[in-house]
Amino acid sequence: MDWGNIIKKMESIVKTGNILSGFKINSDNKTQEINFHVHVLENGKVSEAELANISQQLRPQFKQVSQFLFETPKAQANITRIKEYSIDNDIDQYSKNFVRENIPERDKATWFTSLILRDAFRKGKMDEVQRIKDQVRDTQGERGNNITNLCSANYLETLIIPLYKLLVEDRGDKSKFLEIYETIVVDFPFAVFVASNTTLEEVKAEIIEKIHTVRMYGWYRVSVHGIGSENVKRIQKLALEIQNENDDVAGVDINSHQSSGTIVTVTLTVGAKE
Amino acid sequence: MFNITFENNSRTKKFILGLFGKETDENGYIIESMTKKRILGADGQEITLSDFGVLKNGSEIYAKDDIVSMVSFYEKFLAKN
Repeated sequence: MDWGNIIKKMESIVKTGNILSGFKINSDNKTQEINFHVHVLENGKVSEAELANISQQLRPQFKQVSQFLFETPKAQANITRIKEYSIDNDIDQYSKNFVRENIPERDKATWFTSLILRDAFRKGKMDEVQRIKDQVRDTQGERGNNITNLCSANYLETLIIPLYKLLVEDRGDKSKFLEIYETIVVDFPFAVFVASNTTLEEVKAEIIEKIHTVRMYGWYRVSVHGIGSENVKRIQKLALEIQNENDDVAGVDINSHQSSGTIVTVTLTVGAKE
Repeated sequence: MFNITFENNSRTKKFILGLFGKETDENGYIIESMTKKRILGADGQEITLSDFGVLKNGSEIYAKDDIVSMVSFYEKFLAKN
């Protein structure tokens, strides 16, 4: 491919039309990479007809190019960051592979983005953190927001991956895993995640607070998640206690996601008791 | 490889689309100039001029430029390069 001639032809067409500013070409003979920037001025004097004419003249030149990538500066910045994170085998390699292979298709890209956000946070790059959070919220809504929060709190590694290992790898029950996974993602703002080092009183207080939050926002359930046989017992006991003491709790579903007594998800349905 | 960055304004985007025989309909969606049919982006959805941020060769792949779309795009089309 004769890069030189293609570029010369393009330059002559463009200069004739005088439409492009910031038209810089950097060429790298070793990798045969040509980089240039296109900017058609919004308030430029060139008419639409002239633009169409120039476009038509340039088209055959692009047909000769077998590999091209057009991107906005935002796309370029995003791809650069994604590539940098993806190829660094020292960072989150197990988590990256888990997301690629086992997270539901609709959420893979959001989880991967959330890993990049978490990496930026750990490195103190707060501008990047905000930029990524804004893009996720704008394009993926509440579900995307929940996933970034779950990831930042390390629930991919501490809850979702162990859940997958237990339900899918050990028990072959992928549909159960997907069911619980969905609850985790959708219910995140109204969920309690129980760690081994929290006291019964702390867990109970958090559940009751979430019940009030659910009532305020018009949601209908609080999900309580825990791993480990001790947590399973604590959560079961607390759930029944809270149901007895609290008129806001219409029902408690304890056993639907229990597996071998080591993982539990308890759902408290919030609504007036009949 | 031709790496071309372009300004994120309507006129520049329309110019880029024109190079590949595309334009926009009255609702701002990208269409084939010949057939007036809306094209599908890399995520399988119709794509508007304002969302359009990336075009790659290989049957002309159009994509949005937000980071989540770019993760999918990178994994699918660039990671193996």
